[in-house]
Amino acid sequence: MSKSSNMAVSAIHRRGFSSRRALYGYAWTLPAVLCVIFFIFYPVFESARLSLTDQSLLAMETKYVGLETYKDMLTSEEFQVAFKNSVIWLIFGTLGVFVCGFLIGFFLHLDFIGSRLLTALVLLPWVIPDFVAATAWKWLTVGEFGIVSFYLEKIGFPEPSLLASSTYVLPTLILLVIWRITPLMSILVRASLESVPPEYYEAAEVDGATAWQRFIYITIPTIRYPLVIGTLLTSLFVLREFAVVWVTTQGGPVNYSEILPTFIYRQGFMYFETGPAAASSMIYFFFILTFALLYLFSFRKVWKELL
Amino acid sequence: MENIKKNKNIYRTFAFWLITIVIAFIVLFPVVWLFAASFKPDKETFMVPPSFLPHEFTFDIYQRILEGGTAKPAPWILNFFNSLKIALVTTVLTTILSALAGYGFARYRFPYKFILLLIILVGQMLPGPALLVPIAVLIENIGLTNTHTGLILLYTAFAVPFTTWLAIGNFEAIPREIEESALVDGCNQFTAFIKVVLPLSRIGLITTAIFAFLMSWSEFPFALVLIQTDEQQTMPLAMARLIREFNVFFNEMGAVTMLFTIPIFLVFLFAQKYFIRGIAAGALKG
Amino acid sequence: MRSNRLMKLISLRGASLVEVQKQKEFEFRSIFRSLINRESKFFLIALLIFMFSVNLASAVEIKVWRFGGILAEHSWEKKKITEWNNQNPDVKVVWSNQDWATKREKVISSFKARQLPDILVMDGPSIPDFVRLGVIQALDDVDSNMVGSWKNRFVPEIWNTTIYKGKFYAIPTYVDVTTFLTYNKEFVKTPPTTWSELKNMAKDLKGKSNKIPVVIAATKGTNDVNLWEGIAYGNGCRWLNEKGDKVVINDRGCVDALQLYKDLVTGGLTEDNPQEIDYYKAIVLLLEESAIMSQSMSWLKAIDSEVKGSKNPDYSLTVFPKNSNPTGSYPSANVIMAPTSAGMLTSQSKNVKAAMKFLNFFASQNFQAGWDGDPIPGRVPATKANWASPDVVKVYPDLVKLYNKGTLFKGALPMPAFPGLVQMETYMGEALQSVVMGQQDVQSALDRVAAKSQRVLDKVSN
Repeated sequence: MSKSSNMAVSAIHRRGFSSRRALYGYAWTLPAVLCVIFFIFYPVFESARLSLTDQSLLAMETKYVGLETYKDMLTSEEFQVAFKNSVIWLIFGTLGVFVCGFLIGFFLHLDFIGSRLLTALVLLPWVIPDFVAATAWKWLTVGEFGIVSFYLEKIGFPEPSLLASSTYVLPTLILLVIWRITPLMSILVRASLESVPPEYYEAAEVDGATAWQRFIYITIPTIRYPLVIGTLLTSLFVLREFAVVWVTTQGGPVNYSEILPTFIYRQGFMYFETGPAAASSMIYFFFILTFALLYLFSFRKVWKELL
Repeated sequence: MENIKKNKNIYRTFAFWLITIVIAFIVLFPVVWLFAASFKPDKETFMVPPSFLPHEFTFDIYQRILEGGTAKPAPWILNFFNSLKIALVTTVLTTILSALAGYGFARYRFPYKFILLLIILVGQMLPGPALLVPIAVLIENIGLTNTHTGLILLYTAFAVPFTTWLAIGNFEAIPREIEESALVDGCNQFTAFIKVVLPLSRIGLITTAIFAFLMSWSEFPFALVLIQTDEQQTMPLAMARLIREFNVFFNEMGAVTMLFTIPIFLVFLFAQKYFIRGIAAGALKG
Repeated sequence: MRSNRLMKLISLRGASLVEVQKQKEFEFRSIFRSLINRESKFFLIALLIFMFSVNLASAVEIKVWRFGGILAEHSWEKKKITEWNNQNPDVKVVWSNQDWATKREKVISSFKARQLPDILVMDGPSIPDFVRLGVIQALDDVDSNMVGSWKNRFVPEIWNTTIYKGKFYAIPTYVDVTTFLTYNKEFVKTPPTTWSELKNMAKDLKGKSNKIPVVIAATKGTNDVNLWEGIAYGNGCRWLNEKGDKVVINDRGCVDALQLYKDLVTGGLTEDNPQEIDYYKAIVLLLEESAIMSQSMSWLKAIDSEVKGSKNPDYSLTVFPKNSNPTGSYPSANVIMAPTSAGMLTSQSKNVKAAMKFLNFFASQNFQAGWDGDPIPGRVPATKANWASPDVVKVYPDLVKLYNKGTLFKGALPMPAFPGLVQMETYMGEALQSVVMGQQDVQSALDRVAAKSQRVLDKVSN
């Protein structure tokens, strides 16, 4: 290569913090970051401020009470139940979405007649608005009117009214969420599988690798990053689901299906206790943040190069 | 030898079809029920014992919808186009922003990069109900209540975290040599980005666009709070009208859902050719 | 040298790119700023024009949000609004139907964002909360003469349901009354009037057919809690003591009322899953002939007009059976009632005079006439003129008889309404579910509700 292009290339290879490069970096990334900060962080600060008060819109005065509202929330039984349910929700929801999404995504990748149709069909649970899906599920599983409970009863299932049962209500709702969010994961998986260059497979096949070996040594490493990040992101979607619980059971029966989003909603909009609602949202936020950081930390090999 | 191969193929195809049907059934069962409900006459909606497929097939409800539907203040078509407009603009905006940001994060190092990354990620983590009132106040303060612009900007902010992280992954996967050769040929970084990197990451971009579109197409709580007049309503808001004080108009809900999802379904069906390996691999070679 | 020039070019282009980026951002921000400035300039100019044009006939726009309602009500209202807009070009009313289920979040976020409409048509029990929040204003404070002119045309007991702390806040159109018992006349010739009659009849019916003898609704929804409150108040139970500073929901009268539910469940006299059957499904079960008797409110005919079920049972409505010897410390209430579509004036209305003009129309018999049973069925009307109409007899024959005798509203109380009630009713709903699912016994469930509700009451009354 000529000297000029050498220098150009080495300019790119340089990995130091040259101020110009830093500026470029900011230029590329700031619009998106600013957008998020403006619309999401600013309201969050407002929420954080509220969480330090004991505000109830119905009470006459609002006092700054520091962390006392947090203490009240953490020690209240309702919050603890909601928290526990949210943890279960997170673990099983994410696992379910990952497994189903991966299987379906992989299956779609195999590219047979009708796979295009199936890919589009698989998308439908996500396209339907959440409260419509929730209403449909509710009427499908309700005691006398639901098809599903009708057949469950016929086959002798102990508690055919799924949403009325203290044991089955949370699993049923988690299933509903998995049903709704799997499309995201399957599309992600399929897209990342599609972007593995076929030359890699061809080369491996020439070298005599079996299908299984090709899978382990080529597919998995190549799609490692999207898979890991994708799972994290879809788990965040799982954690944001609110309407599916509110529309079906409102956290019931009693509080067997209460998760933190419904708890927060009830505090803020039913009880008008905006201080406690803000405090609970902050706690929820820290919980999610901790989970995300732990997750990223355990998969740090995958994206270390980024830094 | 030929016969054995053909048999294998037949078994293979059969197995695929079987699995396809099982998956389709599980995934679509509630959706099919909703659609089936749209063909039931009113009296069959709440029948006990319940029916899955209509006992009496009727296009009644579709006729009603064409005439405007139940208690409609604004026609479904208007709401549909509102939703479409908002979703399309959001998609374009999100794709641009996240592609830019994704590239910046993937290719550059700069101070506080991790913090910014985390900010983007964290934007995804906040529960909807908590943000409802503060965002309503914020949007009002900048004067964008009841406007589609306000919703578009908000939805973009919601979609950007997810899509940016996807974009980072995308661009990471593209080897630097390609940009380097472009730079050697005399482009600057930006042109290299546009002319070389973007076409290669086409699959990722389409995925990003799809996610952004879907996230804003069926969003409900913030639209509920920010939209005040019937003419500005999006589809989900209009569909919520069907869950009334007492009743749920399932047949109309099923029909509207069908009208709502079928366009997306068709678009997605045809957009898939950009997913297919052949074209992408071709771009790589070229 | 060439390399230097290349480097300069690259750096220049790079720098210019950053400049362009920054410029774009600056442009955006300044456009933004100028837009705002432009808008405020327009506003000032508009304001000046407005102030200097004395004879300008300005059409004022009044926004109304109507939450809930059945189809018949919507079409009647639409007709009347068109009529109003034609006759009153200076006050244009924009009537918007809003979603019932999300009404609270809609009102609160609009209130905080200062985006409330001029008039809300909502339920009476929201009034105490809204007054405390500052969402609505008292109508007799705004124009007591106008309010006085309406008063005599309304049934006094119904008029009183929208009075809070001595002030009148909302114009009722009808009340929903609870608790009633619907029964299938084919199976039940004379309806039960006491709890023991109810239980015996249900036992009897259980043996004879595979239908549910009596449906009770026990989801966490407010309506279901109201259904239970109707029965409990009928047994002399109350939420608060007379002074209003103590929660007495664990009083004997309430315990027995909840025990009735438990007895029905343990006796197998009701459906298997009351915790997911709400007031609506309860009615549909009866209409689809899966159940013989069911709890209901007065809106039964309203639901029926929309359900269009596959069967057509011959049913009738009567007041829910009472305890033959009420055990509560307070007088037994015959029924409790609340207006669920009452017109209120918000605190953020910018055209109070015009809004009041429209509210005058809202209170007029011309507008109210729709609720006399035709075209709107299943609502217990609020105006005296409606009770005299021939249509209401077709919907509520028994109630009209009692009204003419003067005894219908004698034992009727307003549904409980005070700040913090929504929270307490949520606790009550959870207790209902917990009891019918057999997880708690009645007394301890109610004790817990009382303790938690007392904390809410203390917080709210400070």
